[in-house]
Order: sequence, then C-alpha cells, then structure tokens
Amino acid sequence: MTASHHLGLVGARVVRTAEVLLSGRAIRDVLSAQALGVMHGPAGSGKTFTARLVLDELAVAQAWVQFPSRPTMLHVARRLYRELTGADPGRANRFDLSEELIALLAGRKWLLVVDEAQWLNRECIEYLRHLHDHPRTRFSLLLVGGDGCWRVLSREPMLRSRIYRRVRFAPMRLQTVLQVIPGYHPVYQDASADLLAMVDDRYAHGCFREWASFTHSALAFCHEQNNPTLTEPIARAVLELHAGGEIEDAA
Amino acid sequence: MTPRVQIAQADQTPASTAAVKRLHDLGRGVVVVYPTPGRGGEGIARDVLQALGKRFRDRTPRDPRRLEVLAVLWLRAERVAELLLAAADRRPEDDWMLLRRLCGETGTRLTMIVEQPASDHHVAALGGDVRELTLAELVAETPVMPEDPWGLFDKSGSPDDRPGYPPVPDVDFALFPSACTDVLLQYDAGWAVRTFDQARRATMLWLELRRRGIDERHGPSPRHAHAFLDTLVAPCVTVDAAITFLRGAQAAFLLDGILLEIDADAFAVDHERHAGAPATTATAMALRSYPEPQLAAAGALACATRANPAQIAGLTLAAVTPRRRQPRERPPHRAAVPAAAGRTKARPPRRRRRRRRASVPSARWHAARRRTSRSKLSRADQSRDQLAVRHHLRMEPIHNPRVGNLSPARDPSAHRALSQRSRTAPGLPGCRPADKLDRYRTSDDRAVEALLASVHEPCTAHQLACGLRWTVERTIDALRRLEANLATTGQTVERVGHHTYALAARPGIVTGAEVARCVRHDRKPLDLAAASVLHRALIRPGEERARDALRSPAENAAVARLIAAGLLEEKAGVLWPTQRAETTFAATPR
Repeated sequence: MTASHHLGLVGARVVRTAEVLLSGRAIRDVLSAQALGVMHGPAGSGKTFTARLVLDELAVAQAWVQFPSRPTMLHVARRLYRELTGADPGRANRFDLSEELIALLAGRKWLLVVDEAQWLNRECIEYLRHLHDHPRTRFSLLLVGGDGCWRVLSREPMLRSRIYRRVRFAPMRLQTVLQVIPGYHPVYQDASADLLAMVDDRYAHGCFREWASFTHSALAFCHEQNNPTLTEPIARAVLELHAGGEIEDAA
Repeated sequence: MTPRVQIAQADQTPASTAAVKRLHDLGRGVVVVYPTPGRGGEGIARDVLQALGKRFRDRTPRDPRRLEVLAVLWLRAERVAELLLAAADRRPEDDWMLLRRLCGETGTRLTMIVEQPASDHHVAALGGDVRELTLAELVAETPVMPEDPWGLFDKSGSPDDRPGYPPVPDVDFALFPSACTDVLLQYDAGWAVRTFDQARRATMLWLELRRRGIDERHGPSPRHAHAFLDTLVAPCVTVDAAITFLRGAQAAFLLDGILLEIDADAFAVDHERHAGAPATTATAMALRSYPEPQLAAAGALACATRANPAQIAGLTLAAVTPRRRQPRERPPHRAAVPAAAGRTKARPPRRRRRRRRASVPSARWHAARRRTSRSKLSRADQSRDQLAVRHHLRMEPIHNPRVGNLSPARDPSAHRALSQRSRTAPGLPGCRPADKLDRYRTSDDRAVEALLASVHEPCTAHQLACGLRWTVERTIDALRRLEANLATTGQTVERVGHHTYALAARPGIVTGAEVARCVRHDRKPLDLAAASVLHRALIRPGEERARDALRSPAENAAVARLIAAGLLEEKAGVLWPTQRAETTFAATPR
C-alpha cells in the first residue's frame, strides 16, 4: 500500500513537516523495539498519509487493518486472521483464532498498523495488547487514529504506560501554512502570502485534507483559464464552490 | 514455610511486561499464563494448557471440565513448580478460585501478577495465607535461565525452530548467499544467509580446533569430517535448512583448501529418510503440543521411530496402527483410542456400535457407511458447512509403515500412468483416484502424454502405438484429444513431421531470454579447477592470483566461468574476488 495524496492530487509534493519527521523516527523506534506506538490527531491532518509514506521506505512485513465502529474482539480477531493469512477464518471462535494469531505472529517480524483506531473500544485495544504482550509474538503495533483513540488509551493506565512512541498531529498554524504550502504544489509557487492566509482562514484551517481538496478544485479552474498559478479570483471561486456561499456571508 | 499463593504487584510499564515474559521457562518449571481477554469460551484452563505449549486442533476436547482435568494432568507431568498469571487483576474471581484449586491439586505455587491492587473479593477467592510481594522480589526469587545471546547453552542449534523456513535455491555454495538475495523475499533471504553464516562460522571453528589439535575427538580424515557434518545438520528440521547448513560448511572448507562436494538430491532423500533427531527443540515442541495424553504418547512413539516434527505435528492415531490391521475398515478419525475411563463413559453408545461393526468388515457395512457419508457430505456441501465437509475428508490409508508415506494408489510416477490399471475409463473398477478428478480427459490421451514425456524425444504414432500396444488409429485419436486438452496449458503437442509428435512449450508464453536465464542458472557445482582458482583468489597473495600464474587450460576456462558467474574480476592482470564472493566467504586471509 503506497502513500497517495487525497483525491489523487496530481503534482503535489510531500511536505516534510515536523510531524512527518517525528513520525519517521517514531515508527523506526517502534519497529526496532517491537513496541507499541500511536499517531493521533484530528481528521485530515495527514496521519495515515505519513504512516504510509514512512512505511514505503521501510522493508518490513506489514499488515494494515481498519475496523468498523466499535467492533467486538471476535471481529478484530477475524479481521486480523484474514489480513495475515488471506484465508477466511470460518466459524472459529475468538479463542481458537487467538491461538492461530499468536502462532502467525510468532514467525516473522510484523508491523501491524490499525488505521482509524479511534473506533476501537477499550476491550479491542486490550485484545491487541494481549497479542502484543504474548511472549511468542514478535510484532510492532502502530495505532493511527483520531483524538478519540488517545482518549481511550489515556484513560487506561495499563494501556497508556505501554505506548513507546506517541506522535500528535495538529492543524498547521498560519506561520507553518505560509512556509509549507508554496512548496506543496506548483500552483501556489507565486501565490501571495495574503492569498494563502485568506484560504487558510476561510476554508482549510491548517488541515491538509482541506488544502488537498482546495488544490484539486483550484487546479481545474487554473486549467480552464490557462493560468498556471493561483490568483485571487480563482481562489474566491473555489472557496465559493467548496463553502456554498458561507464565505461571502462571513466576509 | 512459603505460602503456596502469592500476589505480585507489577508496575504498568513495558519493562515490567518484559520482565514477566522472561520468567517463562518450562524447562525449569516456571509457566506464565497469558489469559485471553474477555469472558466465555473454554475458561482459564485452556489458557493454562496453551501456556504449557498445547495446541488446540479440530478434535481437541473443548469441555471446560475436561480441560481442567487435562490442565492438572499436564501441570503434574511437566512438574510445574511455579504458575504465574499475568494481568491477573483483569480476570474474574472465579478464575482465581479455579487456579487456586488446580494448583492445590498439583502442588504448584500460584502467583497472581497484578497491575492494580487486588480487590477483597479476589483475595478472598484465594483463601487464607496469601503472600504479597513486588515483581522485583518475584523476579529475584524465581529461578530463570540467564540470557544466552551467544547461543552457548542452546544445544539444538536448529536454524528452523520457528516454522516457515524458506525453500532455498539449488545452487552451489559459491553463489548461495547471492542467489538467496536474488530469489527470496528480503526477510527469508536474511534468514537463509544468517543460517549459511552460522554454519560457515561453526565449520571454520571446527577446522581451526582441528588444526591446533585442541579438539581431539575429530581427526583429519574424511570420516571425521563426515561425522562433523552429520552433527551439524542433525538439529535441522527441514531439508532446506540442512542444505543451507551444508552450503555454509562448504564455503568454510573451501577457505581451508578443501573442495567438499555435496549431492543435494541424494542428501535430501537421505534427510527425509532419517529426518528428525529426537533431541531437537522443534521435536519437543511438536510432542508437547498435544493436549490429549494418548496423542502425546503416539507422538513419542513416532519420535522414537525418527519421524520428523512436521510428521509428528500432523499425527493421527491411525498412523501408528499396527500393519496387520486393515486401515480401510477403521478410518483414522474412528480409530480405537486407548482413552481414559472418563472419556469412555462419556462416549455415546451409537458410536460404540459402529466400532463393533467396523471390526468385522462386510459389504453391507461399507455400503451403509457410504450412503450415510454421501448424504451428510451433500448436506454439508449445500449448507457450505466447511467443518462438516472437513469431518468427512478421509486420509489415504497408509500401507507403508513409515509415517506420512502415501499409498501406492497416489503414486504419481510416470510408469504407473502407463500401467494397465490407468488405462481404464473413469468410473470403471480399477481406475485411479486421479481419473475421477478430471472427467474431461480420458485415460488414452493421458497415456500418450506420459509416454511422450517419458521418452523425451519426438515419437512417431507408430512408435507410440507399439509402446502402448494400441492400434495407430487409437493412438492418433488420443494424440488429437491430447492436443485439444492441452490448449489451456503451457504445453502443446508439436507435430515434428508426418505423424511424428513431441511435447513442446506453447509458443509466446516465455521468451528466449527467460529460457536462457533459466538454463544459465543451472546447479552445476564447482569443479576442482574452479575451486582451486577461487581459493587462491580469496586467500593467496597477489603474485599467485595473477592471470599468468594459472597452471592449466582447465584453470583458464574455470576463470572465465567464475568471472561470468560474478565471483571473480580481473584488474590489471590480477584476479580479485567480487563483492558477491566476499559476501559468501567473508574470508580473512591467513
């Protein structure tokens, strides 16, 4: 699974923010210590993208899993079994599956990445911890999710204390936006700081996913008007398109 | 006197988790149980059995009471002195009470490792006389084996204790590590190269000891070298690991000026025949994995007859049935089990009746059984009940006493395909199981296909007809059908001349370059001339490595081959080992 920009944005570059650099270090540490790590932050702040980006560069057997909201332990076990073996677990119960999973995770070194981990409840995280703590297994566990994920972990000292590395993602500040976004896509290369500040203030709010959506639409407008860079009229048109008139009202 | 029940308070840190992990040492009678989170299931007894190394299979009993009996039995059998329950504060009082009872019956000391203070209810469940201590005190008191980073205490030395050792490439030792890197996944290649390295280092050590006269058990003769190699590969579970070990040993021998030639095919056959030294860790784990005592006993029997761990792990009681018994009368999953008295009582009477019938084979019984099986199987198939389908899958009867051998009916060799039996049409008496698999292919075209593949040369229809004692018309008809049947495969029937046929690759599937690469990477071993040149290039001074110093045309030809293989390179008239050769031999010039 490779890292790709939101909406398959063409021409976008990877921006090495502090979170990206920290995540790279944290994931390497988690792998070397076969420990438990967590990357959490608000939606669209680039957690999954960063995890994929870092893991693309590392040669390690990895399994990405994502669960529906509030799964049961049996569901987690079945999903993990399917991901690790590619086979259907049939009607095996949680205890049989746990035994199988421990045997599977005892072989090679795995990195297990749980995306959208905020949907896991305490029992499921406890179950993952059980697999991780088992003396036979040799895998690293990375939980990637919203702030809810950290809320669950931090409530339980027995889980919180086992987190070896934690990377907190947050919306970019204006200063970071002005530094980072001109390098994000060629369309912003000649854009003025005021224009970028306006877009961030009225729409993106430092969120990478919003910036990717905005850029995707802006690119289409620029292409229609044969304009290689973002101008204020284009920016206003895109904002109008995304915010459905709220922006003008606010202005 | 130290109380038999303890509560150990652990910190909520990864360090304390690791400390608890290190306490588990079955060899010294210390078992750490990691209870599966959540409630329900077969109870804590199952977790105890799993901590003892037991694996639950399809037919393993699941009744919690039976599991408790088995847990007591195995705690006694393994002479477990300390039973530790990790994360005990997250288990209900019932589990504490049950473990207290089990340990009381077996005389095992029970320690509950808690991360939060145990509640009064939990403490009450343990009864009186409970000692409280910290994890640090527990670690200090518990006998543990010191860490063994250099493998000094590891008597097995088996590279494939863990399952999943990869199939290694069939190339000679000089190209072995690079071939592993080329054709295996990164993790597998690392595993194979580490194994290769382990054997190379062990052999170099042995050679050094022999040279210095320290190890007097091993003299300089080939017989001693053979004995050393036998010892080296003895702990290997798989043929591939054993071959990797031997390749590593070959590299070390070459550095010592000895070309050790190994026939990998003959070795593999020999290893299969004698596989499974009883003392390996893998064998012990396989034996230990049976929760049922009778199967463990059968495993011990198989182990005594030198079955390997894979064979022991897949063992059924039928596999150790005496030869005189008719296997078909009593299928493996219904074999007579010398069960404990309790189990015999619990068995339903219907099954007992069926077993009595099975001891007197009759056509009526067989017919009735087939009918029942079919109906159940078809019902299971319709309802997609995989477990029920699996229940009706029968093992092939083992005619050969060696565990794991297939019956002659499954023998896929070519001469059987040409026998009288195999020329019968599907469904007729005497047809092989394979005839039933592909009903669109008649046995005639299979016979001509097997004959063409056996001869390896183009044959005329007349030749084939003579060989099979058929008419030419029948032969040509079979060839036509074969040609049509092969349409979806990578092979085709090539018409070389008038009614002359050969099996050939279907054009357009593989390229000439692919074929050439395949041919180039043959498994031709190093000959004496090449070994001599390589040895000089690796460890001799510059003047002996000069191109002009080559002694014979054979050595000149060997240099060309070694350069082509990427093991040597020529710089200013001197032969140097390449990076690939350096990696393989990691030679230190003496």
